[in-house]
Formats: sequence, C-alpha cells, structure tokens
Amino acid sequence: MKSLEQATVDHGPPEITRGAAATLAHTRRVPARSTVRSRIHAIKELPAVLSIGVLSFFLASALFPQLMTHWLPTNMAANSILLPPGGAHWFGTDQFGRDVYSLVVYGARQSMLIAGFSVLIGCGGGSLLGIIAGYAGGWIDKIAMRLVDIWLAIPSVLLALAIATALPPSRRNLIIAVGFTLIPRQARILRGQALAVRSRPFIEAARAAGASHWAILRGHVLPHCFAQIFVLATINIALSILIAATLTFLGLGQHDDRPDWGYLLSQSRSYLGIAWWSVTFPGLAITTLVISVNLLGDALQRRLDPRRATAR
Amino acid sequence: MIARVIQRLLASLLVVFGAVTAVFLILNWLPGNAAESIAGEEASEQTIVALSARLGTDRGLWEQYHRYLAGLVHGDLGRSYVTGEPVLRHVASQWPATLQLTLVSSLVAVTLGTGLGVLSARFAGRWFDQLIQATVLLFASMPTFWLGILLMLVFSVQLGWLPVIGNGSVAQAILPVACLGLIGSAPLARLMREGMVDGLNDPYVTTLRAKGLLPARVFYVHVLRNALIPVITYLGVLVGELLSNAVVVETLFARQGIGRLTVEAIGQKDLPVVQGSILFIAVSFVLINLLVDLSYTVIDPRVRAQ
Repeated sequence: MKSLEQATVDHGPPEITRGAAATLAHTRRVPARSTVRSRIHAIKELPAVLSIGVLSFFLASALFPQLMTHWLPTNMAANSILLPPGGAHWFGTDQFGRDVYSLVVYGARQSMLIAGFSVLIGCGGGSLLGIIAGYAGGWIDKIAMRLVDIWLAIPSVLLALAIATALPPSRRNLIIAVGFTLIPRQARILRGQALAVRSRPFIEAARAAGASHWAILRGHVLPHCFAQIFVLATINIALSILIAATLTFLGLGQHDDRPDWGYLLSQSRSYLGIAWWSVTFPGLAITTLVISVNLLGDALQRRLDPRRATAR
Repeated sequence: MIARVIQRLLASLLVVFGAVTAVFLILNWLPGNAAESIAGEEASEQTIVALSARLGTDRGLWEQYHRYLAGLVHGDLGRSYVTGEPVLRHVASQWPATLQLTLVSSLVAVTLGTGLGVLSARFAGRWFDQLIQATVLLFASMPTFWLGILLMLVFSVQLGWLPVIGNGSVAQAILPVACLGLIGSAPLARLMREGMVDGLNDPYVTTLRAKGLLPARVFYVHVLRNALIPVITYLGVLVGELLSNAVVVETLFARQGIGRLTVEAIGQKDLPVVQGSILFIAVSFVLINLLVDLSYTVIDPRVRAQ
C-alpha cells in the first residue's frame, strides 16, 4: 500500500489528481456509474459467494471428516439413544445412539462422490452423443435423437430405479444408474448447440482449409460448447444428488454401513414422532448442498451466457 | 392437420416400442440371476435350476424378449414371480390411485406455480419477487421425501391436524398432494416468471401500450397468455416428474398405488411386476406428451397454420 501512495505522490500533487478525477466524474459520470454498477454486481453475486462457502464446508467434510467432528459415525452407544440436540451432540443422536452431526459430516463424501462421478458419466456421455449428432446431422442425428426420445420416455427417477434394481447393490452401480439417466437431456441440449455452431462460417473455413472432422470437432465445435457443458454440469450435480438420495431412501444401492443421507432418512423416519432431529438434519444437509449448487449454477449461467442474462 | 396427428402417433408408437425394449433389456440383460436371488443363498443348485425353468429365465435373452413382446400384443404382461397372478391385474388394481394422486397434484402444482410466477413477474426486482424466487429455489432443491417427512412432522406430529399415513379419506390425501404439488410448482413458477418478464420486452407489448391499452390488461391478458405456451409444453414433463415422485410419496405415506407396488416388487425381486409398472408409467407419460403436443395445434395459431 505504501509504495502505491508513494507512486501517486511521485507523479504529481495529489490535490490536482483528485480534482481532475472529480471534473471527469462530473462531466462524464463514468466513474460514478461504474461504482453503482459494481455494487449492484456485488449484491447479485452474494448468493454465489455464500454458496461457495457452503460448498467448501461440504467439500471439507467429504475430504477430512475426522477434522470436522470428533465422533465416529459408526459409534453406537446404548446409553445415548435418541438424545435431543445439545452440547455434546449438536444434532442429537439417532435410534442406534449414533451422533447425527457426524453422520451428516461423513455422509457428505458419499453424496459428493456419487454426484461427481455420475455427472462425469452423464455430461461426458451426453455431450459426446449430442455434439456428434448435431455436427454429423443426417441419419446419425436422426437415430441419436430417436434414442434420446426413448431414453426420456422413462421418467428419470424410474429409469435410475430400474437400473439400480437390475445391478447388484454397490456405490459404483448407484453411480452408473444415476449417470445414465443424465445422458439424454444433456445430449439433446448439446446437439442443439452443435447444430448452431456447425452452420457458422468459421467451420466452413476450417473445412475448406482441409481440417478433418475430428480436428473441427475438437478445435472448433467443442470449445463453443464448453459454456453450456459447464452450466449443465452444475444443474446435473444438483439433480444427481437428489436422484441418488431418492434411490438410497428407497433402499437401493446401499450395501454397507457407509453413512448416506438418503438411507439415514429412511432408517430414522420411523422415529419421526419422538426424534425430529434425526429426520431433519440429514435432509437439511441434502437441501443446503443442492441449493448451493443451484445458486452457483445460476451465477455461472449469468457469467457464461450473457444473452440470457440481459434478457432477464 | 390429420397428417400431423398421424405422424405424431407413429412417432409415439416407436418411442413406446423402444421403451419396452429398453426396460426389458435393463431388467433382464444386466447381471443378476432372478432365480438365485428369489431362492435365497442357501438354496441348492437343483432348486435354482427348477425355479429358473418355472420362471422362464433359463431361456435365451432373445427368446424371452420374443415371448414378452408376443404376450404384450395380447395384453399379457407376464406373471408375478411371488403371487403367480398376472402382472396386469396387479398393475391395473393400483393404477387408479396413482392416477388420481398425480392428476390432483398436477392441478395444485399448475395453479400454485403459475400463480407464483405471475406474482413474481408482477413485482419483478422487488423484495416480494425475491421472496417468491427464494421459496421456489427451496422447493426445487428439496428431496421429495424430505418435504414429505417435514410436512408429516409439522402437520401430523406437532399440530396433530392430519393423519400421518394411509389412504382412503380426503384428509389422508392432503399431505401427499401438498408434497407433490409444492415440488411440482417450483419449475413452473420459474418458467412462468421468465416468460412474463421476457414477454414484457417484446415488440407487441409496445404496440399494445401505444394503442392505449390499460397496463393491467396488457399484463394479465396478452403477456400472460403468451407466457402460458411454454408452461403447457412443460405439463408433459411435469406429469412424468410427478408420476415418478409418486413412487416416493406413496412409499412414504403408505398409500396404495403403482409406485408402492413397484418399490415392494423391487424388494421382493419380482421383476415382471417391476417391469410392468415401469412400462405402465412410461406409456402414460408418452401418451400425455402426445396429448400436450397435439393440444398445440389448438392453442398456438402459429402451429395451426403449418
């Protein structure tokens, strides 16, 4: 800071600089308006900043759960069954005497792992299918889009339910089930984007210059789809957390005692009448996480897709 | 116009056929031996072989598929592994309850969603709009089952106003309908708000205003009507969402219905019943989307002219 002040002093008397700025502001009003705008901008981005904070908490819980709580989620104690929230147990204890706060903290890993990998499958597979269909056009596009129609004919939760039923219960299979339901919507949207990019002049120029289809796809079409892929990825993370929680709530995909928010809720819902805390906090964790991801997605969309942002 | 209807019908038929094949492949082709999981871990080799012969799972995939399709054409969805009764009877007996639940909650969702969306657009940028948007975000981010649990907690356990579970009376239907309706209203409110706020910037609004029309009439008649078109498109998706959320709600509130049937069948590894119920839901979903698509011809003059 000091060196900056010295630098201004070196360039001339500060009074004159300030005065010049004031005249400038008075005549053109540029600086004044830009401060207001940046302030509005800051308020608009407040939810995104908050959600990054919440996400960091969940990320820390997923990576280092032992640092966030000194209880172990597997710790069952007969003398501390269904204790209400209090000093020792912030979120109370459940019907097995486990600490609900530590269950929530340790459950973050499960939820985030499933969401992350299923979105990798969904966004990866969907983008590939969509971009190739949109770029290729013709019969490839027709077949791909018919496939997507069929895929979408089974509502997403039910499709995930069917796949999770057919596969043996495990986390990997849960990821596959959720990931596959994300593919068709992703494909449809990216096909539209690829179709729009394909007709732009620089694609024709690249083709005229002798670039191969692969080079055009990688070097020109894909970069123009990145913004959309990012925005969709955040939406899909929110969606996959919800679908995965629904599946584990229905008792699918769970095969060991790894803490999982959905499964936790299905276990403790029988104690609804006597222990509100054991059904409230795991659900609150899912909702908070999904809200944060959604808010971040909105902010991303405003940044990356200025056309929609100005339309609003 | 007739050509358009026929074309849409054929396309839907193809989608239904594809969905039948997809569900069949998912449930029968993926690893996991039905006979083995039904017989249990202690069953002898002989029992399993006999059981698979009885269930028909010892035949090749292609032959099973062939038989399944042939049955479907004759209205035969196969027989339940557990009760031995025709799947169609199981599904048909549960279907009306689910249909009722879904339709009533769709109505609630549409009324609430469009209402909130219009209010939000009316006060766009003000605190009331922000309040509505925050509420909508909350419902869009909540797992259905957790909202159901919270509703039970507040209205049944704490206040004691409504029964917790079961079906039959109207009082028992209030919480499930509220749960599905609230979840379903969130995307509709967003869509409606966006449509109206965008619509206000359209050139025709300037024309109407220049003509001297009352601002309220411009907003509530002209802009509203145009903003409803994407909402109608979304109705098809909404019913699909609510049908699959009915699986959760029926299980949670211990209501009769195809959703609970599916979950119970999954628990018992009763694949024909799972397959039948999912197909039933998928086919109704396709039909509703077809109806929505065709209703365009009536609603939107631009489509009618084509």
